[in-house]
Amino acid sequence: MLELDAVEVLAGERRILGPVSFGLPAGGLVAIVGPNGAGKSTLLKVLAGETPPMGGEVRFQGEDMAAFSASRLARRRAVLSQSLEVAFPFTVFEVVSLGFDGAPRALTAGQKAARIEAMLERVDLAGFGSRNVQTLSGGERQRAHLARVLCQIGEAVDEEGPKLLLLDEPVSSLDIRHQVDTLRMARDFAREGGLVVVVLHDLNLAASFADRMILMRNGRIAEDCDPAALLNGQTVDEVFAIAMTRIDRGPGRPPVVMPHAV
Amino acid sequence: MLRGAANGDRAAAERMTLAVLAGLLLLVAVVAIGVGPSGLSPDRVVALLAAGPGTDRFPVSESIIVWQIRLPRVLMGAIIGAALAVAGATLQGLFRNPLADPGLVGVSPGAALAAVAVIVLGNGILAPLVQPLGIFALPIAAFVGALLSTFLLYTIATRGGRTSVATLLLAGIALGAFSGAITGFFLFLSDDDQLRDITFWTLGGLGGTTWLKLFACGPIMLAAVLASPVLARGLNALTLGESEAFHLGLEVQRMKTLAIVLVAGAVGASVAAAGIIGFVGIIVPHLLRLAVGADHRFLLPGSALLGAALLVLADALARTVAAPAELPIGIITAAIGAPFFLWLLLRRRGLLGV
Ligand SMILES: Nc1ncnc2c1ncn2[C@@H]1O[C@H](COP(=O)(O)OP(=O)(O)OP(=O)(O)O)[C@@H](O)[C@H]1O
Ligand SMILES: [Mg+2]
Repeated sequence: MLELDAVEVLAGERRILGPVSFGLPAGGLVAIVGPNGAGKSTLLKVLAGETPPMGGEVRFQGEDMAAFSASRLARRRAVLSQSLEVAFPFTVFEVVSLGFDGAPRALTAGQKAARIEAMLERVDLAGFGSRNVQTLSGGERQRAHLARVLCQIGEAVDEEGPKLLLLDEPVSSLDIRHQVDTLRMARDFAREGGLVVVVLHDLNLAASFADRMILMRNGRIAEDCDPAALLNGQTVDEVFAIAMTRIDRGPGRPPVVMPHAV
Repeated sequence: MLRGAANGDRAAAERMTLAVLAGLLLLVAVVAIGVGPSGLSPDRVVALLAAGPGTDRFPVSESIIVWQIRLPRVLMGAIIGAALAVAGATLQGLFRNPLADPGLVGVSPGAALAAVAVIVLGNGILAPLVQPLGIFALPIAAFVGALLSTFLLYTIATRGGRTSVATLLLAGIALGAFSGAITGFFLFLSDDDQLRDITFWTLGGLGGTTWLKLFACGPIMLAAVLASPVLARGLNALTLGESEAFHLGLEVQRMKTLAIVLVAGAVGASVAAAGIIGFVGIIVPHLLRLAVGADHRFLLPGSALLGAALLVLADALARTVAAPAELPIGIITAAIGAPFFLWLLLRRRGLLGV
């Protein structure tokens, strides 16, 4: 569904991504992990069609990504960015409704309102609709934006095919239960046939939900395999430059990793 | 908690506010047409308007006062107020900052500079350009001046798709000062007649508005105001940032260009018509955001209506406070606007706790 061929991104003289090549089929949840500055967000921006690669090619559903207009892309993929700020005092309801505004669908105002309220309930923000989004706590705000993104993307698959959900550190401000809730929603989307690419820092959380993990280092792919293989291998220790202790959880399941206590 | 329906959907309250504002504008306009030396009661104004120009059912003097003097002036005030408030709301959305104002960020001084250049050089070096344009030379020059300033400002303050607010305000001040310096230089070059015209530009005023002037400057502003709702969804998405606006399906660069042209048109034509009138663009959208909502589908038309009503009111004050003399309207809006702006800054400071 999504193919990258020798994709490169430069910032000035410096190469911050690539060359990377891989293909992602629909119906999976792919976790991207790696140290700060490894190029995870940059990669996600390329997948979103936001940063055009300066070398190589990105193909989305068999077509060159560059051929998609912004509005056509908005109907096929949604993005939750790493950092978000709302410039004006919008209500939570209004922010979530922006998900419907960008790519207009044939919905009445009443249908939209019903969906927005249902979505707020899904992200555990029932009753937050009339709050000023600028006064929410960090985690509440992150969930409000998740609701917006889920409203934009809608069903995981429609008559034109599967859709793409890109999440850049969606749980960075969330408490442990809401972390699990959020990744469950992402996994549901993948189970229904969509493709989810999610950047995460918590290796164990990533391993419990992902079908496949991509470990990045200095803009390149260091490892691209299933979670158990990744966490059992030594590349993680090398890439993060810290020795890990592994707690085995039985055959077929990825181990729990934790850095050596000092 | 923001006011509105319990679920946070403020659309109904916003529609209601628009209706109320439209009513308010009509009321203020009728009262303002009646105000001045030889005042007329509102019902007399309505009757005179209903009778049409050149009627013989009323004294000719009254008909002329309403149709030839006050009506074009009030219409001009309304259009300028609407254009400035919409330009303010649009700039604020574009820069993602509630403090952006065409006057503060150097757009109006740029337009004024171009207008003054036309006044002073219109019979000299610029004659080949200015003469064929006739009465349209001033609005077009002011439009081009505003367009250049807006574009320059945007380029200076934006880097890597992000607009720095500090740079924006500082660059705006610098740009305004620079435009002011060159305007001062033209002042130095000008003769007595030109000097009087220039003083008028820099203070701002609606005195001497004629139908002709209204037809020369009004259409550009009206077009900008009427076109502004096209930007509403884009400005809403831009509230989250440029990346998010793109993710939501917006052709960001196209809409930014459209917004810049719209602001330049609205501000340029308003400066050509009445000189620099400050603070309307900052007060009006801010009040509406504070009291009703920030959704641009409401904010743009709401700003147009409230801006129109406020400027018509300010002009009525300008005509009466020092009667029989007239104050330049720019003095009134600055006298009300500047303290309001300070209050806004203090309130923000309080909120940030610094
Ligand atoms: N516009 C830019 N100009 C210069 N350098 C950039 C630019 N954007 C990103 N970089 C650099 O590219 C590298 C990769 O950045 P990226 O945001 O992709 O990292 P990341 O893996 O998401 O890190 P984090 O875990 O901190 O979010 C970093 O070193 C960053 O400083
Ligand atoms: Mg990142």
